[in-house]
Formats: sequence, structure tokens, C-alpha cells
Amino acid sequence: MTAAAPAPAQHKKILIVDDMTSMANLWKLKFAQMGYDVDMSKDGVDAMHALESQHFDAVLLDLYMPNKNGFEVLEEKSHTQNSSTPTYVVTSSIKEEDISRAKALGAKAAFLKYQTSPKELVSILSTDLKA
Amino acid sequence: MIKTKKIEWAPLTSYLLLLAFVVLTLVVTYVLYLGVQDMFKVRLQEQIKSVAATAAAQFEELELSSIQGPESVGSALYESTVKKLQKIRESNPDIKYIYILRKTKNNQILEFVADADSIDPSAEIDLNKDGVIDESDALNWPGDPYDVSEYYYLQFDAFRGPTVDPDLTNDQWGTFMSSTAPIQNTHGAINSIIGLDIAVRDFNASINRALVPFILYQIFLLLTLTLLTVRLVGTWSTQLEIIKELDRQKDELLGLVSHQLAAPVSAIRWYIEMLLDGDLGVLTPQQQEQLRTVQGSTQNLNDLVSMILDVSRVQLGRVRIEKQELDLGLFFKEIIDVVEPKAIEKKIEFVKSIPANFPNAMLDKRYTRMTIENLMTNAIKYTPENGKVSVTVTHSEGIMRVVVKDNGYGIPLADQKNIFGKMFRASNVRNGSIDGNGFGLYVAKGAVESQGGKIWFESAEGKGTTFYVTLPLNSDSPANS
Repeated sequence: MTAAAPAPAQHKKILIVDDMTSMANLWKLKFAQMGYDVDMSKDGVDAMHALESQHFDAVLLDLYMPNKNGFEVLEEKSHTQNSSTPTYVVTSSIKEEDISRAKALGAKAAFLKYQTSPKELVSILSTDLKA
Repeated sequence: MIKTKKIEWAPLTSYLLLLAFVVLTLVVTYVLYLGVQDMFKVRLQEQIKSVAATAAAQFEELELSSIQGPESVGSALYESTVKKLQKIRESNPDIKYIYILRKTKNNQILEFVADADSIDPSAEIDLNKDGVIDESDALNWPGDPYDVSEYYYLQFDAFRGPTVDPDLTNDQWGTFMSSTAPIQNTHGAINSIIGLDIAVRDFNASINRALVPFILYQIFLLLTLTLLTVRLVGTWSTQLEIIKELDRQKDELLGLVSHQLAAPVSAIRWYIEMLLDGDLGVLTPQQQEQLRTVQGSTQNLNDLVSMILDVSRVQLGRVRIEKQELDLGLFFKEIIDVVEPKAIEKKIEFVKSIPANFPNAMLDKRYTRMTIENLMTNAIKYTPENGKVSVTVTHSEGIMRVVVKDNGYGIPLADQKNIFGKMFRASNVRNGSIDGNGFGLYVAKGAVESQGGKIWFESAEGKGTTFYVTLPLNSDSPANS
């Protein structure tokens, strides 16, 4: 990245995949504030369409969704142009197996949806993306 | 989980009690039966003895002494003696044999004198009515020896007073009881006795007639009791199953509900945070103030939901430990910064002893903080003004030890075993406004033990309480206390 200031974040694109719009909107708001472009998908099928058609700099992925769940998205993502896009899993599940399975499928990190504030989430992602 | 141990033992104890009762009843019944049998027998024996005594009174030694040997058969005295014996027998149909015996020089042998059958000992009659006349039909002659070596009572007692053979005799005609009585001798010692063999064929039958209805009734009662016990135990077992199922469903429901609550509660929290951060526009100072009040309530709600979730997880054994590197110095400082002001407010002396250096630690921050903060807050809560609370932290060989000691109200002995239970509130809490929701220690214990640590306490009512927590600094190695 060049030293030219206003942050390249302006061109950074995030995909938020979550069937719970109340939380997803919060994240969208926060990311938008930081200058990111945000796309939203309501389920796994929607998410795959998005992942196949454009490149994202990061993905926020819920695990349990109708039509196609987060695990499947993680698997299928590797066949798209977003195969190396860092994916952060946000889930309400406390099961150890879910977290380890997500990580085994390539998730960069996993967050507990209701214990991580949007502020925290956004700051972690932006730190990673700047690097 | 509801404690069901006591109820689970109930069926076994019920069956054991039933068994004991049945055995006792059977034993008592049997003893009673034997007792009644004995009573009947003794009464019968007394009756027979008096019959023998009455019969004996009709004879006199002087007369009998003239019957000596076979030559006496046919003499008038012999005939009158036999006739008297026959008459006695006729008057009492139960008398099978009646006979007179006398002593010999050998007290194991008695001598036959007369009996009711031998009016003519030489006659050949079918005595035993078996259709054949043979030796078994032989009658007795005066002077015939009679071996009494096996009948002790006939050797001595029979000559002292009316006696009865303690054993019953059996022959082809039935069961007999034998009785003797001495024949009076005005001129010396008793020399002869009269003997009666009396049929007692109705003896046992009459006892049974009397007792059988009673025994049948008893068996009926015992069967009914057994049936009732079995039904009762069955009911208990069913109830127990129901209770366990309800308990399990309750735990599951709790987990489910609290999980569902987490979502909307979190959403509210984050939105309020965003509003207050100005992310959604600038707020007026009043709006901010009101919102902060809402935020406070929301935080409470969130804490409650978290607590319920934690309780549910501990209950279902699903505590999830997230280990992270912890700077323990900073960790304890953060807790003390929150807790100490409360102590100062209550004028409680707060003594802390924290090492300057800690080795690396990998612990679940949230749970560990929850536990330690809970213990310190409790210590302050349950100590009156001007009391003292001390916190001592040490570590050795990879294990951290935290001791929180207070000199407050203490925990009554009766409550001590429940203290790590749910909804626990000690009975000696004087200050009614002490808040808290009774789950703190329950979750603390679950959290500590899930990380391989131990938590315990010592307390005396009115003197104070000391809590101990040991935690392996690296959760991979278990704590040895």
C-alpha cells in the first residue's frame, strides 16, 4: 500500500452474511463509518452469488442460516475468486466443535456474536486489513 | 439437577421392610401355632393323668399282690381285676389299652399283672383284627416281663405320681398318649401302676380347625400388603421418572430461552452504544442522559442473561473455556480497582497482597475474573462496617492460589453444604438490601473446576469466611491441591 493518506479503506469491500438483519445492520453502519463498502447477504445462497461475482477484502460470516449454512459457504468459497479472502465467523453457537470446524474450513477467526461489540469487531478487522 | 438419591433408595427400603414384616409375621405365627399346640397337649396330658389317677383309685396293692404268675389266671381276684379294667375301658371309649404293671427286682423290667384283654390269655383271638391269628395276637400272662429300659418315666416317676409319656406313640390303629398312675399301697411303698393308652386322633385336627382360618386370614393380609407395597413402589418409580424428566426439560428450556434472549439483548446493547457514540447522529445532553439510564438497565439485563446462560452451561456440563494469555498483574489490578471503592464506602479495611511478578498464564479471562471478583464482592458485602477483608495471591509450581478472607457474618453451619448450589442465600443475611442473584458461587465453582482448579471455603458464623481458589496457570496441567 502506498503512503498516500486517506486510507485505502475507501476501496475496501466487506461482505456481511447473516440472516439476522438487526445485528448485520449494526456492523454495516460501523464499517460504513470507517469508510468501507459493505454488501449484505441474507443466507448462504445469496452469499455464494456475491462471492462468485465480485472480490471482497473481508467476509463476516454467520454459521447457522437457512438455505445454505456458513460451513458450506466456507467450503465453496475456495472455488471462487474470494478463495483467499479472510473470513471472520460470527456465531451465537457456543459449541467448541463449531468453532474448530469453521477454523478447519479456513476461517481466519471466530467471534461470539453476542459477546463481541461491533466496535471490537470492526477494530479487529480494520487492523487486519491494514496489515 | 434435583437430588434424587433419597427417593431412589425408597423402593429398596420398602421391599426390605415388607420382607422383614412378612418374615416376622410368619415367625410369630409359627411360634403361636407351636404354643397353641403345646397348650392343647399340656391340657390333654393333665386330663389324661387325672383319668389314670381316677382309674388307679379303684385298685389296691394288697389285692393285686395275690396275682402272681400264670397260675393266678382263673382266680376270682384275677377275674374281678380284669372285669374292673374292662369296665373302666367301656366307660371311656378313647381308652385303647388299660393294664397294670408291677416292679421287679430289676428296675428296667416291669412285670405284667393284668389288662382288659387278657381274661383268658390262652384264648386265640384275632386281637389286631387283621384276619390272621399269629404271634402278633398274643395276649399277656401275669408275670410276663415288660422291658421299660427305654421308658425312663416308667422306671421311677410313674411310681411317685400320675405321669404321662411325653412322646405320643403310633401304631396301626392311630396315635396314642400313654399315662400311668400309682396304685395305692397302705402297707408300704408303691409297687404297682396302672397304665392307660388313650387315642388322641383328634388332637392335631382340632388345633388345625381352630387356627387354620386365622392363618388363612394372615396370609390374605400379607398378600394384600405385598400388593400394596409393589403398587406404591411402582408409583414412586413413575414419579421419580417424571421428576427427572421435568428437571431435564427445565434445564434444557432454560438453556434454550437464555440463548434466545442473548440475541435481542445484545442487539439493544450495541444499538445504544452506537447511539451514545454518536454514530447515528449527535444527541442532545438530555437525550444522552436518558440513553445512559437505558444503557444501565440494559447492562443489568445483559448480566442477568449472561448469568442464566452460564448457569445453564454449568448445569448441562457445557462450560466453554476460552483460554487466553493473561497478564495477571494487570488482571488483578483491574478487579481491585472495581472492588476497592466498595470497601472504602463501607469503611472496610481492604488488605491486598499480590506478587509483583507472575509467570505466563493461560486462563479464561471472563470466567476467572467473574470468580475472583465475585469472591471479593461477597467478602465486602457480607462484612459489616469497619470490618476487614484481605486478598492474598500466591503462586508456585504453576499453580495460582487466591485467598479471600473476611471477618464478617460468616456462613451458618447448616447452610454450608448448600453454598455452591443454585439460588443460594444464607439464612443469616441481616441486611435485607444485599443484592445478588444466588448463582454467583454456583457458576464460579463450575468455571474453576472446568479449568482444572479447586474452590473451597472455611467459615464460622459471626466470625468470618475464607475462600480458597487454586488454578493451574496453564490449563493443560491439572491443579493438585
